[in-house]
Amino acid sequence: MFRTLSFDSILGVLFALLGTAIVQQATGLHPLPGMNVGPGLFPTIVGGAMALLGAVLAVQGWLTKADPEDDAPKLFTWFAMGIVLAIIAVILAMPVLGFLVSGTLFAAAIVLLSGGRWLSALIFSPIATAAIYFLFTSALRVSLPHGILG
Amino acid sequence: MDAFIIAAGLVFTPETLLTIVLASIFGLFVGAIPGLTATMATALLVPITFYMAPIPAIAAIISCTAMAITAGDLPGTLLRIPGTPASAAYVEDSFRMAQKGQAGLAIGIGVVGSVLGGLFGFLFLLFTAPMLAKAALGFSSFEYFWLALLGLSCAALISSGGMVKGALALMIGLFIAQIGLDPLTATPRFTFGVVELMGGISFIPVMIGMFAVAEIMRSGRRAVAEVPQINLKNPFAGTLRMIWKYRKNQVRGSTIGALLGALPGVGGDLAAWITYSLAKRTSKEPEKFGTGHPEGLVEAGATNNAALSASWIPAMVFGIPGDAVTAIAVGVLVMKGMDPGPTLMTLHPENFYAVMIVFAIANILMLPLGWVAAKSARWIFEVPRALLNAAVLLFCIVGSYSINNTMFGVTLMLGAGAIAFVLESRMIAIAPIILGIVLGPLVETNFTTSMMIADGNVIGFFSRPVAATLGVATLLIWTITIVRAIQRFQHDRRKEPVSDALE
Repeated sequence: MFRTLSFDSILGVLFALLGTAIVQQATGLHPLPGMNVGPGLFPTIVGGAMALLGAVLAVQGWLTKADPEDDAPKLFTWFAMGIVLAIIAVILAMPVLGFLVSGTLFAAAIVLLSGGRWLSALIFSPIATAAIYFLFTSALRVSLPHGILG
Repeated sequence: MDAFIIAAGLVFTPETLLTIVLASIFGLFVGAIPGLTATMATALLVPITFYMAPIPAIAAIISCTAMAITAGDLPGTLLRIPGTPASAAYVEDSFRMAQKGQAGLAIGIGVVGSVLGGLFGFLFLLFTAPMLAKAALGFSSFEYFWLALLGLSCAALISSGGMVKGALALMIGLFIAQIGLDPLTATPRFTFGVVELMGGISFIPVMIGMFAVAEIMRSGRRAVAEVPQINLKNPFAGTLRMIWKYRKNQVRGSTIGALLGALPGVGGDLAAWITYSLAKRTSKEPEKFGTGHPEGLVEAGATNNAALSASWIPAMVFGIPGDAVTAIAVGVLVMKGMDPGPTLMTLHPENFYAVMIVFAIANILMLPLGWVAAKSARWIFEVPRALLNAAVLLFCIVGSYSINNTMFGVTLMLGAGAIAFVLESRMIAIAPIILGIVLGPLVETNFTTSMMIADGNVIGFFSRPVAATLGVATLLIWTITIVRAIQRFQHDRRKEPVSDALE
């Protein structure tokens, strides 16, 4: 029977590697002179446990046959990718354009991405952005980036 | 008594009362929206509480959570989409009742049962917490270490994806908590020279990413199911009669809920399932369960909220939260300089009583607000999802930004959201990660301190009677779970060749 590498196994291997890296980093931290335990001890234990559990997960994923991969929700949907890209765009644009401009563009993009209509995107986005802006700047006294409007 | 009067003075201010009402309405709204959870409501609220005084901040969290969990019964009853894992236990019965034209009664039982269960849990908390706190005053780092480890172990081991995945989630959380300066010697760890990492990973952006952003990513473009035309002219009609009829279930459900909820790491989800099946087993008409029978609904609904209140016991008394929501609340308390733990109750009893009063107010407020929510359920269900997504995500971004006024918070939020999205699609639970982040410093400090006291000798961890009991209990739980997992695995392996041959 053909057996593809299950997603669990891949995750398990990744965790095993991460755990090993944590242990490697942590063992480089030395106790202060005169102390019997140092800052590296607890991370070493956690990293070791993570590596071990990752290895178990990898083996488990490989041995378990009837992997419910089909039942699992689809991982890479365009919708999820779109949201990630939109947030990355905001992270880059907000310091330059300011919150009001980039927030409005972001909100409009999300409305359209979620299947909303152009008209609702045009009306809703500026209102929502302004409402959140006033909540945080006036009521909570957070300063949000002004960007080109400042 | 003086402390109680001071506490009343802290709560009955216009600011706090207004906060309670607004947070309740917010929680009710988010909880009632199908697919949005109580945890998400709480996560969204935290950046706002960051800028409040301690008492209103914690009041907001408590009332929002209680309300959101109760409101989760609305989409469960009307649309068969349970709002919380706990309400999934009885969603079949409440949905069928709504189909039979008893939607008002089903929601009424949920709300009134929740209020009664919640008040029961509140009384339980009010009387047991100070006693436990007295005992906890004698605890040393050994007892705290084991107690925290016990709570974390329970949370990891009972999580939905199985032991290995739950434990992995816990390790991720503990690792995230280690980034930054080490709590005892201030040695930078895992910072790779990045200045922003020196202060550690802020818990708020991570939590917003994992609970709100990931949830929106997962919900997708899926539109809300048909909203049924259900007559809700008089919600709650006949509720009291029904609860009186099943008063035995109400009392039993509340008691079991309060006891199970008080165990660190167990929380209400499991408790509601246990009492639902208990109600079924002891019922005179078990065949009616799952067909729209109110008996299990009364019992599990009461359990749900009693457990919710009681889960604040480990959080308030020891500073060891049992589930994601109380973990968020403990995070807020720490942020506000109100370190939960026995000293909160002995040094600042007014703060403890203030929290108690907020509990009572939030539970009583649930009656009128629940009624309004039931009446406006149709309207809440019809809020366009596209607009909601945009507003929630915008809010997440500003909330994450505002913690340190840097875009780094937003980057953290995005990273955490993406990781949670991938992990959850593989049944790796998020709650143990959050618990690990919140409890990480506590576990580590107590562990390292204990190691220094015991001079590196592990036997020292069992040298005090309470510590030894907790330690043995923790190790026992792990051993039993591991042995059972191996047994089940071997059992499955032995059966495998047979099924291979059959294919």
